[in-house]
Amino acid sequence: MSPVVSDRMAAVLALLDGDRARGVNPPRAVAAKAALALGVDGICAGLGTGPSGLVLAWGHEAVGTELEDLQFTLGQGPGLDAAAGSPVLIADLAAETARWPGFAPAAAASGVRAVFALPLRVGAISVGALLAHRATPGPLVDGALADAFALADAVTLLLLHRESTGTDRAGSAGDGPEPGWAHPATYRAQVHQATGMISVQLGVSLAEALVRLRAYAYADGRLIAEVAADVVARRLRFDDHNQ
Amino acid sequence: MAYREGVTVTREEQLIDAFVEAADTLVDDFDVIEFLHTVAGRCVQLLEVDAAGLMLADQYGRLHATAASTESARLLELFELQADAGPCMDAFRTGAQVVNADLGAGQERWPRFAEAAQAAGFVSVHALPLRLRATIIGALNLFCARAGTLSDADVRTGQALADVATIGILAQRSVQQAELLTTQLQQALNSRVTIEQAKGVLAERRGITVDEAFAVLRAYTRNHDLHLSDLARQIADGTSTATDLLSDPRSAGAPTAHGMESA
Repeated sequence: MSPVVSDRMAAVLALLDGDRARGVNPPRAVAAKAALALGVDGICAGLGTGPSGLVLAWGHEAVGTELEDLQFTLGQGPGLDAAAGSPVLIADLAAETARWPGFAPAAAASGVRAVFALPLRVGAISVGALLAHRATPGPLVDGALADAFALADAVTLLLLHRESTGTDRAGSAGDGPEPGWAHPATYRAQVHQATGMISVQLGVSLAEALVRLRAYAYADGRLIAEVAADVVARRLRFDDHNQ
Repeated sequence: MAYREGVTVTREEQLIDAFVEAADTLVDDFDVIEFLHTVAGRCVQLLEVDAAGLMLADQYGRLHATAASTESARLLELFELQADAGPCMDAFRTGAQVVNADLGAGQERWPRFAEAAQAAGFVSVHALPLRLRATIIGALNLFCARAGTLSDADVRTGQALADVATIGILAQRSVQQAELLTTQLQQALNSRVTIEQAKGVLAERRGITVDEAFAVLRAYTRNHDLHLSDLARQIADGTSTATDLLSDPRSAGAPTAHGMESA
């Protein structure tokens, strides 16, 4: 019963890891492979959590772009609901007109019958939502949901990193983090504790604190867990160091 | 004396059997109706009542007989009569136990039900709510054909069996919806991450260790009747208004001067 990531999704995650290490944005071609692994027609990711809506951040195919545009324009849809914190799994969009009176018929007109939206998050850090869609109704196949959650984790950290690129020198292209960094579920508790501590030390959001922690570890040639342990043990403060 | 001791031991063993049986069922795939029938049967055996049944509410708040110790038409009719008024409906609506209700005296509260129950040979009736936190999903109904009362221990045992039935129903829903199970698991895991982040925020704000931060967090939720994951999220994303919790009790707002830095 317990959810396990499939071999196919593991291969997709490895691709994301590899491309990330070369400082590349989440590649569009990987979205197509991920869609194949999940048994859906397309996957995209939207950034944003507020009422202003999601902005397409990953994915390329026309329908996914249209769904993101629709949600942005209408201010409603499964991606927006998921970005607020709860997974939204819609096996038959036709039954959800009352929930999204604007989005549901418009999406149906684009030939979408099933949508699955997962929050992109690490604890209290919210980035946006991952959106998968299919032209035929029906739930995700067995095991695909666990795969989708694993993909959402990886995409969350990719987008966190990318968003920080413009403002944070340490997060610029070329500074690839350690392999396996895109799986927050495997992070030690201390990484999350240190994130909270650093956010207070620097007066920044948890998202930025996590990016800074990771960038520091990379620049120092150490594992993120080691640096986090130093922060939690108060051997290291970011407000003393950070340039 | 020896005889009475023997009876005590037997009942204790029966109790153990009942709960071990329930635990064994719940960790595996199982049929929920069959499970509820077993619970009803155990009620008759353990509480020394003459009939037992479980009624569950639908989405409109109507009660439906779901399982009984014996599937007799007369007993089922007694359950059906309570869809409008009866001890199960009382327990369901109020969440309170209806214990040792005398059917003779119950004529005023539920005349139709009391009359039918007496005609079926019962003298007293009991109803215990099936509850999960603030939600009541139905009631456990117990019937006695002889004069006498349920002891406090009987009522506690009965309520425990009712609670086991509730757990079984919810577990069954989860088992049938693997999606729900995965989602709930993911939500729980993410809540755990949020709690770690909140511990870090609190530790830094108050100049304490993360372990101490967790103790402070838990104590605060208990004292203020909050959910741990809710408060943790508010602390982590900066929306908490608990200023007393977030400020360093020793020196308000001053940065802490704990460890040394390392290059």
